[in-house]
Amino acid sequence: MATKTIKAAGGDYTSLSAWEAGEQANITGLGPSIAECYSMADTTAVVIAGWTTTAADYIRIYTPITERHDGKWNTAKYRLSVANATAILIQEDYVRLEGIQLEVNAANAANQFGISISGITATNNEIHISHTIARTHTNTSFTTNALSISDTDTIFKVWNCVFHHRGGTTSGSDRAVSISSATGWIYNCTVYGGQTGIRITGGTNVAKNTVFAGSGSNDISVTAGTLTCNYCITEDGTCPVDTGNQRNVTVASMVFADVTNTDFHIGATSTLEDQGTDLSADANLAFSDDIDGVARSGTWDVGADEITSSLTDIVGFSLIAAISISAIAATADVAGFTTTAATNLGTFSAQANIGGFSALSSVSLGNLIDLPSGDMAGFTFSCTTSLATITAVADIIGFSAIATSATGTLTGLDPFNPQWGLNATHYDSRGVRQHISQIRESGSYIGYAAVFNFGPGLSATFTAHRVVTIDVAPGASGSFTTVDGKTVTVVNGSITSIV
Amino acid sequence: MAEILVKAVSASHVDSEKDRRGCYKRGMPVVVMPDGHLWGLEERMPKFAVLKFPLISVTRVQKYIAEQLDGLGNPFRRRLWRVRWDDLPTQDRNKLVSTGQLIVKATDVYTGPFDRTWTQVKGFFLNQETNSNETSDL
Repeated sequence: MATKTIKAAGGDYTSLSAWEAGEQANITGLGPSIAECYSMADTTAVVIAGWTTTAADYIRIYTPITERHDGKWNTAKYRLSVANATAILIQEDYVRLEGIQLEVNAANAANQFGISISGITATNNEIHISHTIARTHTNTSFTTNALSISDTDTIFKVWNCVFHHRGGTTSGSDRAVSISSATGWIYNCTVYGGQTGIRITGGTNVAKNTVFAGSGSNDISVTAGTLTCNYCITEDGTCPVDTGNQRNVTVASMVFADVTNTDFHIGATSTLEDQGTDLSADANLAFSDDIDGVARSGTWDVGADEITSSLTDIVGFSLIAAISISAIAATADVAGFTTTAATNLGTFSAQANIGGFSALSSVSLGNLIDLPSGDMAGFTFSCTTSLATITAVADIIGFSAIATSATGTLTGLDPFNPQWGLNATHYDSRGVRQHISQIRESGSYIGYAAVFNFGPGLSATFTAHRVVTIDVAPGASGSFTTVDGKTVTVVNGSITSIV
Repeated sequence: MAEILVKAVSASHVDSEKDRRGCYKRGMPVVVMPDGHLWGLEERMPKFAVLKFPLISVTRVQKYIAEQLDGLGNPFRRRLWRVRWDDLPTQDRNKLVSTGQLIVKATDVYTGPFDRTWTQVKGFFLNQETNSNETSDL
């Protein structure tokens, strides 16, 4: 089946509801039917029914990353926001929701939910919900759930989701999640609010790495059936005693960013941090990212969010890895950063300033990339073997690269601000300066100051526009060639010719 | 200021219960949007037609996209209302097929071109629960 777009203008459909009506069919043997949702407010309630689907021929409703919320409720991205009905009612066997925001945005009659799953008749079915935020209205006068599964046949897998009941804890039928007689897995979700956080009235359910909070003394309620919890955390005392579980953990200590506005990212000191378990090889539901799409690593955090330091400034950050660091990406300033890797540091990239950065690798640094508008001031890099590539689009000032053997390529790309301050000193185990294999600049640099420390036994080729200062060590001999074809010859510590 | 997207073809399911409860049938209103809405590439014939009601508010026609529920509040049909497409005058059916739209004048304030008045059309709006045609003004 083809992918159809849902856009405010210029797409195949202008609402998810019309897509469902237009594409409704028996899709057996045709592959997935996909709705690709773009940033807009979609205000018509959706019912998924009347299709014929299979495990391979499923319905997928998703948002591309660029159109998706950023882990919190975001009115600039795609959202299904309805005033007078359940936002989406799923009555089909194989449906997948990914990266969707859904809400009931007004006080209505009872039994109107963010997501409702009911009326599934087949024994074989599987509903997936991931990277999704579902929330209720704030009114507590009516029964409403962020997620309601009221079908005895349903098999569901839910991960990296936020289910937020915004109505407080007073109305007895208000639940963030309500499940009756289904079979399912809830992994790395944040379930918050309502008179009850999650209410189980039947079936066999498993929760891992999930936090239940904000529901008074009813974060978890199991009246029939089972809910097996591992590595789950509750604010109250309702979390069962089992592997990894914690109870009576205060909401304040969880450090949610902004509960009122459905932002359940957690702060650096959150008690949810590093309290989960790695589910990347889980037999029933394996994944390895969080609600933001950020890779989970190390000891996983509990809830939908995995703490990452790349979203804001990194100040005084220290990263130590025993083996390798594959990638570090920062979108803001990186100041006072220190990383120590026993072997390789793959790629470090920053989109703003890198100041006082120190990367120490005992083996090699793969690529160090300073993206547009970023300075490298006071940057220090040290590795014991090779440095592959350093690329700066803007200034590199006060940069110091120290390698005991080879430095691959050092490239500055800004032709308008050529304030290179390169001081590359390389010593071997005897204290003898070693070579830099290539220094290359792509712009037309004028007036920069490059200091090259020229050691004994040097024999190297340089591709550089201009070398202003040559520091020749006593006893050094060798030669190098500049880009304008000059050959500089050094004999026993003296420059003997520039030809 | 409303336009109603109406299903122009029926979907079907081999399970009669799912067919009744889940499948859109020809003439069922799907979505209501404001006047001048820029419909998507698929929101046209042969899948859909548009009924335009110039100067009539979205709120006034919103009821036509309500579900039909059973006595317990569970879905019974996709829509409570259905345009009796096959009973429309031939001229109107031909217009829908050829242009994908029908302009309905439902208020005296509107002085632009139109195909039918609401008085002429409302008798083709069937309430499937009561099996009676619409009699109300917009």
